[in-house]
Amino acid sequence: MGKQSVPQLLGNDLTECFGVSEDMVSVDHVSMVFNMASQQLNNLKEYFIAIAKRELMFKEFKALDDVSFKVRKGDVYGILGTNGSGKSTMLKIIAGVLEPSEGTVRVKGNIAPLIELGAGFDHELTARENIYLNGSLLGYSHAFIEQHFDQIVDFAEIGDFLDIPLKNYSSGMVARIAFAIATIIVPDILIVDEVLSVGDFMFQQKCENRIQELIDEHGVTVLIVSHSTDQIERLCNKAIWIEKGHMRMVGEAAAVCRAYRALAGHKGSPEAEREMFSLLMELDDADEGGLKEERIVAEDRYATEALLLERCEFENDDTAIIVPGDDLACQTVGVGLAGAFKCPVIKTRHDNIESGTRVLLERFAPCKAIVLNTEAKIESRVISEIEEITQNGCDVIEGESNDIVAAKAYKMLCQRGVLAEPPFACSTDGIRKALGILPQIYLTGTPVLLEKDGEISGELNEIIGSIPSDKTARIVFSSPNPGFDSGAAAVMASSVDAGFFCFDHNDLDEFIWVIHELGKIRERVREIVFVGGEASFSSLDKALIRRALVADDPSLVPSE
Amino acid sequence: MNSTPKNDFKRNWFIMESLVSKDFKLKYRRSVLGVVWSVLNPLLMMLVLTAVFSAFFKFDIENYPFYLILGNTLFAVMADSTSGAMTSILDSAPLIKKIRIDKVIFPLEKVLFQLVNFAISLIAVVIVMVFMQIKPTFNLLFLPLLLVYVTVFSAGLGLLLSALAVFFRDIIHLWGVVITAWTYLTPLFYPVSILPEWMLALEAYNPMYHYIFYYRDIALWGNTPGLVENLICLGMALVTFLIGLFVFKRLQKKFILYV
Repeated sequence: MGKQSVPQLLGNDLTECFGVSEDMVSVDHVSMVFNMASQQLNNLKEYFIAIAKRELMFKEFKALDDVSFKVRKGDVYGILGTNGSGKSTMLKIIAGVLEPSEGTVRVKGNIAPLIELGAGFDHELTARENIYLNGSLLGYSHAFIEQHFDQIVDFAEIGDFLDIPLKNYSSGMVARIAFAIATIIVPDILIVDEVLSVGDFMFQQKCENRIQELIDEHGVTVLIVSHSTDQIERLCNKAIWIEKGHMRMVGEAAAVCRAYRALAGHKGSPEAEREMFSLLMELDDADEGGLKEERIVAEDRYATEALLLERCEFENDDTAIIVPGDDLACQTVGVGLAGAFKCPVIKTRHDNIESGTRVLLERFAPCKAIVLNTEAKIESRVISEIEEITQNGCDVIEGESNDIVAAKAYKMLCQRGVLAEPPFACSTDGIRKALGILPQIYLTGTPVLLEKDGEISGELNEIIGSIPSDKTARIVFSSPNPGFDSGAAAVMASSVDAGFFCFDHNDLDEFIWVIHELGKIRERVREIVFVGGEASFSSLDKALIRRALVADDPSLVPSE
Repeated sequence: MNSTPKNDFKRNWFIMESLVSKDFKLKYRRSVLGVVWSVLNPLLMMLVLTAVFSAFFKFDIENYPFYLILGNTLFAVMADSTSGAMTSILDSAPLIKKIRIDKVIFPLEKVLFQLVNFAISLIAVVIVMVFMQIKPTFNLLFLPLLLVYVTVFSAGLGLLLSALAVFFRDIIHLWGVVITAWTYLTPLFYPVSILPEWMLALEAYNPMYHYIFYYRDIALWGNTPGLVENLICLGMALVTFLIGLFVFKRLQKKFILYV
């Protein structure tokens, strides 16, 4: 694996912590290197082949790279990180199961490992037998287990099933027993690795209560690994965020969680990341600054579209453009076409007409529908159903790929003489960018042409050739990203004369760009509308956008 | 939970106890005769082998069934415990990956478990002894000593195999063949007299040969094993154990990466 460019965001306060006496766990410059090559050799033949090829000991994978932190007595320490970023490796090193390749880990007191519950269970044995077996593996004495046996059984709520083999238990019950055994002692340090993700809601609640009890009444130091930032924020006071083996951030749990939510798993340049980070640190649960905020979302994209188009008036509702709901490029073409006709563009599922689509079709009751059907995605029965609703039936524009459909749609516009604007051509890397100007495309009725896989097809060439040279076609490229409501949202935005931003909140560069753009127009904005659910815009995203619109901080305005 | 050596030992012993009891319960779970099989098995084996070898090969050994069962039960301790120990580390992978635990426990526990089985099979030995009217002598008091030799020897082999099996699973397949070959190389069901000169010389280096004849000496022939014989048995056991322990300790840190 090559060098990973994961910048460390915050970690300067580390050095100052060293040397404090009440450290329960001190992790000091720990690195862990796995030898990928030799771990795949499971038999002698492979081993000798590897020696012969001199391949042994070469491929290395650094699971942890120079990680240092300290857990003080009474701390509840969260470890955050995406899958495969080295969290569990870190815990295993602390628990003494793994030895670090470099660096040292010092642990004061005994550790109760809650790393994956029930590791020592034998499913043929009864619960009673397993309690003794697991207890002994965890280092309890026979007398201790006997003394606390009833307590364990009570906590696990398995009183009636004690002598039934474990294999007949539900997984939730097994988890309950395991948790009960592991937390019956009051350890100095408790390690919790995603255990709280098993079992039902009641059990999770119970486990959390028990952990809380250990923390509050016994001052137990706890290390928790979780994907759930909510859980970490609720339980922990300190947290560390490890990403691809590197320490990204150490500090107060709330701050780390907030940064993690906004940045983890998101792509973007280091500059964008740093800027986003500083924005996050400034973020307070500030006033809304008189901004009206609304979220438009429904159970599926078709119903969302129905909500959006309900707010629009169309000059021409004799016609409707029908596009496949899972093809963003085709939808973009549809928006251009609809703009030229000043009519609505409606998405449909390829195999069924969803209720949202039906509502729109019935509301506009178009005389004529123009169906854009790439690769014949929309099934014929759907088309014939649409035909039944419309009075004059459907025109179907078909083609084996979107560029052909786009070209055919353009030709149709030429023939009917509704063409107002020179076409706007797109290719495969930039529909993302084209989405931002969808309202303009709609408003001006600019036809959209597509380029396929970076190659200009004959048909497109012919069209571009026929455009007068003073009106050069712009070329933008796109990555098809289905499932957006961008088409309908853009139509609505242009209909109500609103500004429009279409961006992926996982792309920090895009996000930062949007925030900069918003900074330029903030005086004018009175109302914001988010189209899409939590997955498109989290509450944190909304807070960031709100702040960009109300802040009077000059640092938000781009410096150039 | 202070980790003084004494406490550590106590803890590890309790773990081994629990694991032995687990293995024991699992072995006889859902069988009607249960533990009786541990007595019945060597007896049935003895009957089959006696029928085969006394009818076809006409071995002329006094008290042949007893000669057989002594060899078979003792050899089984070594064979079963090494086979069990060999996969013990691999089998306890989920534990090793999650709990800080002395890994030596797992192979040693398998050896202890076979010792328990051997103790039960002693009932079969006694039955045959009574049936054939063999008079016990005071030499039987050497039995615990012999068991120490065999246990230490098996533990050494078990440690070695369990560590190697983690890195080379081939060992698991190979060991079955080795055990079979070893069974035939050791005079379990044939008299020493049929061995050619050079084979007999070779047997001097076969620990199982020594242990089995030690056993027959004290139980069947009523001989008192001499000091030299004891030293040979002990030496072989200790050397094997130390090699096994050394290899195991050297490799155990890497187990977690390969299991």
